[in-house]
Amino acid sequence: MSKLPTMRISPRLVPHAFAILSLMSAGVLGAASCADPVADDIITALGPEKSGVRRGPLHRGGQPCLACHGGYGPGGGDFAFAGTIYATPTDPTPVNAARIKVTDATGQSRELFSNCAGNFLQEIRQWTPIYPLRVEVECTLPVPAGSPPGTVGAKKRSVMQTRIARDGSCASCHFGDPSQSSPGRIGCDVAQPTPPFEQLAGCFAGGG
Amino acid sequence: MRSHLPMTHADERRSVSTNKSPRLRGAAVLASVVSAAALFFACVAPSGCIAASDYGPEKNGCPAPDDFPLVSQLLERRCGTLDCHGQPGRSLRIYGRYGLRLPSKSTDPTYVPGGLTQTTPDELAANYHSACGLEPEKMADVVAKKAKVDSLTLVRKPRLTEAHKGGRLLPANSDGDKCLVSWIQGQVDIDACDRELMKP
Repeated sequence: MSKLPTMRISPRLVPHAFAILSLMSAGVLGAASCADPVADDIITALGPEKSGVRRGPLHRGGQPCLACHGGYGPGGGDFAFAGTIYATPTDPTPVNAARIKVTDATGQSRELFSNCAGNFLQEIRQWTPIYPLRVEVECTLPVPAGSPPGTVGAKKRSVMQTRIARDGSCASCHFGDPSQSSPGRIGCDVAQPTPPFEQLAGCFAGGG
Repeated sequence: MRSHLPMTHADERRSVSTNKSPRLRGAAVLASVVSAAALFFACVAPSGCIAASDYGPEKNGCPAPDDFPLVSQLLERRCGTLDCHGQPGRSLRIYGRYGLRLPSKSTDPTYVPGGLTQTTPDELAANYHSACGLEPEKMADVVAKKAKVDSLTLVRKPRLTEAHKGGRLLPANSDGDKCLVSWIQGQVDIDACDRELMKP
């Protein structure tokens, strides 16, 4: 039977070795206790950034924003709520300049506007709303071709049927086409108006 | 016909087994009987369990289902949004028109959260089972007046007398609380339910 190799430590170094091992153990245990496997799985499932779109307010439309920007994930600037406005629940054309009004349980409200990627966000350092939240969305419908210059499209206002009870990521519930587990995307209208919404040209120019 | 075919390994094994001593043959018979018995119990036991659960909460001490549709509306509105108890992973899982729909083969485009299809009888039944199945033994005790209604998690959570991420949704003695509690106590307060459901 071969003799196992042994490491000799000077008795003077034993306390130091013990301290180093303790710190290493604490580090490993600390890292393990901070990890949230459920949140990690959600973040991993989001996949990489879309080609040609930089990290920022225009990225990852239609994804649950607070997965990364909710205090746990890698995104900076924690959000109170955030989402993406589309043409209809089944049409993934992002809508620019939609007005989103959110009112919390205390009656305080904020108005936000979607960017050209359809995204809107409320940073938590500016407002921490008290749930449940009431939400209404108002979109300006596209102007028909041949309309006189300066014509403003008609307004279409929709109020969310239920209150948001606790999840600030709109896309946690509003994802994909309508199904038995989702009402579909947040749409300006139930069907594409005439003329239809179109994505603003050059939205992601320069990588977003 | 069979004898013309070449002998397979299985046939060889069979021919060997037929040449066993009576003692071995007895053991083989015993093994067969034990196997058959095991197979019988394997088939019968699970169906026995299913039969037991088929009794449902009504017979295991749950408030009457007659007035539950009103209470279900309350639970759908206050608890069953998609970001709370309208999620499949919840022990108290609520289905309904404004939240998660009970999985179905329906291809009806209005059978979606927020769609035009009203809460179905199947969804009502699922909500009833969910409300009673959260703490079935305790619910039975409360219905039998052996325990207080505020011992139920179903009551304590919305009152926030027990930790609840959704907060205080139905404070004690509010209309919604009265609606839920009165149903559990056997006489639903329809007026309280109506008042609560009129609220935005």
